[in-house]
Amino acid sequence: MQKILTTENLSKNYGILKALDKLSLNVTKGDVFGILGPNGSGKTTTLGILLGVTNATSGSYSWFEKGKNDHLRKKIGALLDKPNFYPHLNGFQNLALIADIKDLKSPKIHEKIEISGVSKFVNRKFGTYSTGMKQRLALAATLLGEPEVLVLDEPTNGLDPEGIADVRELILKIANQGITVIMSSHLLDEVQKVCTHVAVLKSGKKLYEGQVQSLLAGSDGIEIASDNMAQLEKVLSGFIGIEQIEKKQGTFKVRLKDGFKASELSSFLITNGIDITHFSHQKGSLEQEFLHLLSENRA
Amino acid sequence: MANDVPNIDLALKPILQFPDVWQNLTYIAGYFKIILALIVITSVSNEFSYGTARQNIIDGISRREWLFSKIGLAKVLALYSTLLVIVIGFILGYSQGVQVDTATIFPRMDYVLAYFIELIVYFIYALFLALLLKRTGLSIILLLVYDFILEPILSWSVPDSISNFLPMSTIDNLNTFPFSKYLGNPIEAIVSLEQLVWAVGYGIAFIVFSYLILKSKDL
Repeated sequence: MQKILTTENLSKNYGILKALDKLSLNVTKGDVFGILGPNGSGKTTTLGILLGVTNATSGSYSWFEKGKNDHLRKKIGALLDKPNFYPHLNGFQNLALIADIKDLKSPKIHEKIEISGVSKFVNRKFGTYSTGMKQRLALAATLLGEPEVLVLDEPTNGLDPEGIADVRELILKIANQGITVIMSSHLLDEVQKVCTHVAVLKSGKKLYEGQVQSLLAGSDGIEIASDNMAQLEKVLSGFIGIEQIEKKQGTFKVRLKDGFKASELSSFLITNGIDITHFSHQKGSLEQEFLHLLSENRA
Repeated sequence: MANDVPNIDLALKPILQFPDVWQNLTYIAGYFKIILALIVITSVSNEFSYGTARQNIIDGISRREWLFSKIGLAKVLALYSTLLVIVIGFILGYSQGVQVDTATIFPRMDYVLAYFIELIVYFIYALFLALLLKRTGLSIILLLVYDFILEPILSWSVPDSISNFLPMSTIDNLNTFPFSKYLGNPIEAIVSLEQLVWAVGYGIAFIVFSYLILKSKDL
């Protein structure tokens, strides 16, 4: 598979603060790659470096296996931070200007206006737009020039629930056309719904990189309670498939090792004479995994 | 009051006649460059406050190309001003009712070239200030303060051989106050090649500094 983006030991220091610490990533064609992390974890810094507006302190990156030439960005549709347009020009004029920068022969501006739902206000000056309108115009701009890859920084930021749903649908539609998407988000739910791959960042360091599916695998949790909690704890710790036990308000929260099933645990408990009063199997969510990763890496 | 001023009848002086008109007109027009420099400063610092400089780079142009697009603005402003001065010069020259021919029209047109250089170097200097400070108000204040306060103070404290080649003096010396000749004091009637070379040198230096600022900063 063609590599869309590789980074090697990218670092960015602001004085003594390490905003980004030796980040290495690989994005393959067709991925919907999420960069996930709490505020200040280095997501925007990473995208800023990859898009040529932030100078890396050290390390390197390469787009399309061709290096970091400025003109390679013409094949990237990018929305970083917030929508930036000329306020005294209308939406259409702003899009035409970007088409010009990207050297597009036949930019299909009207088509992109339709897709991103900006047709109603495209003839108004950008300065009069609401946050949602700005964001939609910015999305229209990223689609100009049939990009090979979309880079989106918190794409649903500032949108109302309807807008958020629209944007997610749009991203999935784009991804289905085989266009690679790289997006940052602090919304776990968003990454889980949209992305195929994820890199988890914290304080500029990469904690995890891989498929969303494999991050979630084995992350199911089981809540168990019994009338005799002391005995339950003793028996539980004797089960070989236990990864982690956590005591929580009258229940035990248990994570099983890979390859062990909840049913095996329940029959183990019953054969050991435990009266189970509560047993619930919870499907893993990225949120649990994320918090788990963060707590494992508490420095 | 009248006896303090030498008795001159301005109507008899060839202030607006060819070829004097070129030197006199470009000298006066030189004062208006400050207004156009404000356009350059506003245009550049707005690109930063709107975030459009950042977006232009993201969309795929290099920082060098971005800088040259702004130098293009400086060039266009200087070019249009120069064309306007040429047109006004011809109108004034021909309206004096004096017999003209090519031998009287063209001699001092080197001042028109000097005017173009004066403008473009001044605009590039304004561009440099705007890139350095990224704020419209601050850049305008520094432009005026340096031009009218800092450099004059600096000029007084160093010998002429140095002060003549400070940036603003270099630009201004391309066309020194021409009207004293009508009071009987001889003045330069040709643009100093040395000053011209220095002015172009400053222009190139400001472009290089601007590029270094733009390259090293995170946008």
